[in-house]
Amino acid sequence: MIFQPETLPFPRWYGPYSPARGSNSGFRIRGGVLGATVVSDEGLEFWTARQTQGVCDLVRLVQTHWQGGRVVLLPNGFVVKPLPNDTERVLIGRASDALALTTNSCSVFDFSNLRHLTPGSLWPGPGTIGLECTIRVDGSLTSQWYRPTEYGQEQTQELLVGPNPALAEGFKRARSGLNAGRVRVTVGGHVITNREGDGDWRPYYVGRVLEPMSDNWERWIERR
Amino acid sequence: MTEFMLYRGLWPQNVSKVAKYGVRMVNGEWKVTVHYDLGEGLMYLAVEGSESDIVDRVNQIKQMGDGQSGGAFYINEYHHLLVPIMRDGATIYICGGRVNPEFTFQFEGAQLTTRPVDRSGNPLSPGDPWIGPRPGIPFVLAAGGNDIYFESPALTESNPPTVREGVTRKVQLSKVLRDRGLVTRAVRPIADIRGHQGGRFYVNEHGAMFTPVDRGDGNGLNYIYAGQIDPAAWFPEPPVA
Repeated sequence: MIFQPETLPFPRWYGPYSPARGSNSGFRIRGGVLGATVVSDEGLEFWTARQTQGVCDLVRLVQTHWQGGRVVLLPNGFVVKPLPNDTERVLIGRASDALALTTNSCSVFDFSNLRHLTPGSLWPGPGTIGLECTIRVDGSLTSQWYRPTEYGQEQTQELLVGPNPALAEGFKRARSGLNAGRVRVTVGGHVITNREGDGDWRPYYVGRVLEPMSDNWERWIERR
Repeated sequence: MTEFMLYRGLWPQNVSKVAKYGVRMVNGEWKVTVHYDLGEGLMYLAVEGSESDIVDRVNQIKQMGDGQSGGAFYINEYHHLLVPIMRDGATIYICGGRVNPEFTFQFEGAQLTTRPVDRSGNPLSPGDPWIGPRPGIPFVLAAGGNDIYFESPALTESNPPTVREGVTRKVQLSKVLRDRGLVTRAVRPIADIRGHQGGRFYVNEHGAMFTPVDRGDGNGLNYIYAGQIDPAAWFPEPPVA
């Protein structure tokens, strides 16, 4: 992964964002290592990012300013840090190129090389990363997020991906009987969705967004 | 021609027919009307007397939209005239300035008003049935019964403002007042009726609060008067151009 940090002071981020769903959700920097939690048959595993220069730069930056904690890697490469109590989010940099995680069994989960996954199959990676979206019948993806304001909160809804028949079909395979619902878009544009089975929810693969998501994410950046 | 601007306050979207006024042609004359719930269906009543200023203002704004006269409008607790029109496929709310309405309607030989009084003109007490017409602006008592909020599309700070596409403001009384005592004062009358579950209530042009409550007797919703808003413990008045 290549990481290009933003200059200080970090600009405020008002764009697409998903809040944490529990203390193990999303990418986190723990003990000086970037990684994400995966639920396996053995329990919770923390898969760590392969130590490229970019990953090391990102970890160092976060440790310098916040010691550690959650970072949100958006599908377009923006890296966002939620500040304590989720009162504000800042854009800390932009990531590009491949990100790979090392599993507990020392194999590699490479977000740029998941062609073997077919829509409807179990997603073998972390299920709580990425941007929450709603997939509609036509396969389009809409994101809704909020930010606290002095008067309450501001809720924004944005169409990020237009009609996409392949995603619509993939969602039907992953969630048989449904043609619209909640999904996540991970690093690398992989779309996953949670399906209940045997008493718990597991992530399933829907497909991949290949075209750029939305056209102008810069408009949600507020420089200080 | 008067320049009308987008309203910076609450846009009362998604309310029922009975919650809005309308300008309609009645016996060859444009009149202010209201839908009235008879229990077995709706009928509309025309306002008594002349409210031609409001009618003219509503029609002037409506013609900015699709070029037609007549249609829905609202008057809020600040006496601001709010007129929805269609623009580029979406509904926007134009402020028609300040008005001083005193609407009365004839129904079965009695005079109905939107003031909080019964059919004999005696003041209502909180908890009494709201028997008058129901146009009003929707607010929500938050779950837990300790805050009031409304939701409305966000506008730009520019002058004149424009709609921020896809962005909705949720404005909470507790965040606006920043005074727990004042919030409690504002919330109590409506919480006394709606309880901890919270829910929607309406405020009309006289500051009267009323709320639909299912009494569980199979007769659907009854509207209950909850008292008057306290202007010192309420949302600040939005600017009117």
